[in-house]
Amino acid sequence: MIAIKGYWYDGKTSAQTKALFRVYDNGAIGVERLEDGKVLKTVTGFGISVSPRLAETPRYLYFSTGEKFETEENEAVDRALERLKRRSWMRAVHHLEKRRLYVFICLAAVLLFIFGAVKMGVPAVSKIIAFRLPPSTAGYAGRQTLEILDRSVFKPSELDEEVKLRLTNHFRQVIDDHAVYGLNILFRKGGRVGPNAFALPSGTVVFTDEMVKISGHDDEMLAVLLHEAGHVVYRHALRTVIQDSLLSFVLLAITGDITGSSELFLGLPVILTQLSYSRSFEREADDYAVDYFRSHNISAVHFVSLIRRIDKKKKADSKTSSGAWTGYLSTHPLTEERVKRFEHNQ
Amino acid sequence: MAEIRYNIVFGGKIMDGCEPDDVKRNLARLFSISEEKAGQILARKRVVLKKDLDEHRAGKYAEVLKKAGLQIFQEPVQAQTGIQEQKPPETPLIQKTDDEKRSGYDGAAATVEIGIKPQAAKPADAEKKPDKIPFEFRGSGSEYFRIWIVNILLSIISLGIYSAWAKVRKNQYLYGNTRIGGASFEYLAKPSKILKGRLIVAGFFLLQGVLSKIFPISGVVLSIIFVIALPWLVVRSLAFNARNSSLRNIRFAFNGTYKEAAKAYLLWPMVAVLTLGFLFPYSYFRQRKFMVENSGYGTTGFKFNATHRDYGRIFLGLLVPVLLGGLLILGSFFLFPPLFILIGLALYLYVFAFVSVKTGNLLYNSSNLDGHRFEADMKLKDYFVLVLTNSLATAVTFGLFHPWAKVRTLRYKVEHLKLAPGGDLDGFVAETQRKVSAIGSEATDFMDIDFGL
Repeated sequence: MIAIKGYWYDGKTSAQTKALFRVYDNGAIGVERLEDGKVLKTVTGFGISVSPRLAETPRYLYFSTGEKFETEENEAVDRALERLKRRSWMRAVHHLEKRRLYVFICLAAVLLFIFGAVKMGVPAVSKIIAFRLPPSTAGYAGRQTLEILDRSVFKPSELDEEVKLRLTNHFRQVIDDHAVYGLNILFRKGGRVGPNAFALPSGTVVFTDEMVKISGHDDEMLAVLLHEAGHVVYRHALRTVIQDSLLSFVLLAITGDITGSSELFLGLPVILTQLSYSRSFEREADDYAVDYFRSHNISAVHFVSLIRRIDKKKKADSKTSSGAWTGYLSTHPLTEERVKRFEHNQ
Repeated sequence: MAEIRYNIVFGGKIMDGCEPDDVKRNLARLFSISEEKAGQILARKRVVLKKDLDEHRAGKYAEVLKKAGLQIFQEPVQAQTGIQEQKPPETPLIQKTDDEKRSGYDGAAATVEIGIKPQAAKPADAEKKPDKIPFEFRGSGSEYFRIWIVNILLSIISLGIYSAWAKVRKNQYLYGNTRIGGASFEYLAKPSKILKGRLIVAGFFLLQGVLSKIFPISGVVLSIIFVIALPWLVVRSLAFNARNSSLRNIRFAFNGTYKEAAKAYLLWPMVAVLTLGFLFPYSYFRQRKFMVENSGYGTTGFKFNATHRDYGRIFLGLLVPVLLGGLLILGSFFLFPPLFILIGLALYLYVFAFVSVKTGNLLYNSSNLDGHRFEADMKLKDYFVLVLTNSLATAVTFGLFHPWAKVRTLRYKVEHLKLAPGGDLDGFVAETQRKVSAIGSEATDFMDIDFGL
């Protein structure tokens, strides 16, 4: 016989009675009031259900007639269940949670899974989704983005019409090669975004006046166009949106209900991951440009000299020293890395 | 050494304005004796109802009995502690006039003393509660971390199916470690119900995705459907959580209606937006009121006596810190931009802590359950430090600190909450409880779904 001390609740009132729960070896159960031994309940056969073991939280023993016995004597309850051969699969979960070694193994497995999912799973899945979506989605999103940028950042271009025409003619070949993607060149005064070029999902590529002015050779602008064309061809804008939502979905699924403030900083790893996604897209776009140059026998040296020059200008503007660690905080790969890729691929 | 002990004496009169029959019934219920016996006690001029209590318990008894409608006196007696004190337990008392008696102080006519029979007095022993009963939290961060990580892995391996079981297990851990007066809270939700709810939600999003691809206009239609369904979802979720929480084998309940929910969650927020946020505190107040007044323990409903002014005051108090913080952000933006992000986050956490503490305290302090009150005394400074450290630790550990943060927050909230009982904690739910099981069984159908709102 195993005797377990605890509280008895009849299920009809909130009355709390100190009680003794006895399990006899044949499975019969008797509950009596601790104070005076008055019998509260007897059951022949082990006709009750028992809540699964969960750390040191109290155990609940439910009777089919609605009464409940609550006890903290987890070991005694486990012994009774063992003796009566009543095992539940939840007991295995408890064993995992109890042993430090198992917990460490679980932790390692979860970290490995998250790493794999974030590094490969999410990008791969969003790539598949992005290429299945109809091109009209991209067109609409592109127009919206341009409108917003025109209103907030850009000003009308102040370049000579002659320059624009010359560049557009120089781009002719590339534009024709990308007829399917509907490449379309626009010029805008960049203002605070400085020397830059943007590819919108619709295939529109925007060059800032500053970008055009900084260039020393039209082939440099051609390289920029090809880099941006890479973004369009690989649907990077769409994939960014899908990746970001997939990423938050994965994190939500892992951590469960995200409420409260402490989850705020879960956002930091998310941002770092998004930046790393952005850098990998830039590399992809660079590679696209290099490939095009190689297949058309154009030297990539112009692109290298251009990003070197932009980098120098940025450094002169901000005067901040950039070490290797800034790689984690940047949307683009470090200049040295990009240059190396170009030279390597030549 | 002798401390002052008290006898609880009934002075032969009932309180003004009480019906003798009601008093008789109350007395019978409190002491679990027959109404006949209670009538006999009330017919006497002086009855010692309880002997030799310490000051604390005597006060408790007097309060409960006075509430039941009896005129009660606490007579001091000298307790027998050790052997040196040999005074009889009942010292003769100076007789006082009726007026003094009515004033409810310690005098009473020393007449016949008739104790209640031992077995009759026993159920009343359960009433011997300390003045205020603190809520306790016994969980630990490391224990919760183990459960958390193991259940995450099982959810991943099972392709998310186990996540419903994981949710139940995590909640059971947090509920089971929250205790009051030796009893723990219990989370009773069936994982299969949670899985069902999640599948329905996922199905809805899938449907929306497919439909919006085929008929672009369907996005608008589905949004309208969602708005119409929102109050229903709120009610279902609140009911699910209440009904699946229990204490002392009695479930909580939620009985809000669609109409009320629509007012609280659609109408008033819309009004708040239309008034440029001016009526936001009022809208917030209506939502809290809706939540509390439709909640119950067993069939005993919670009452809520906060007013919209209380909420207005809280949000008004937020104005100065937010303006100051805004200026700081603006200033730092020009001086050193990275600082402005940090100040922004700190301000966000401060606002979060401010609202949590102030509205949390107000919510509990203004709620009562049939005379039982709650006392919450969370401090803004403590809580702000808590959420700040939680956030930083979660950030530097890439989220692995989450279980500790959860436990720390919950422990702080639970340990700053007390129950101030307004009487017997055992008896009140008894007569009304039976109806609950009917509601409970009725809800086992399709409607009983957790949408995780």
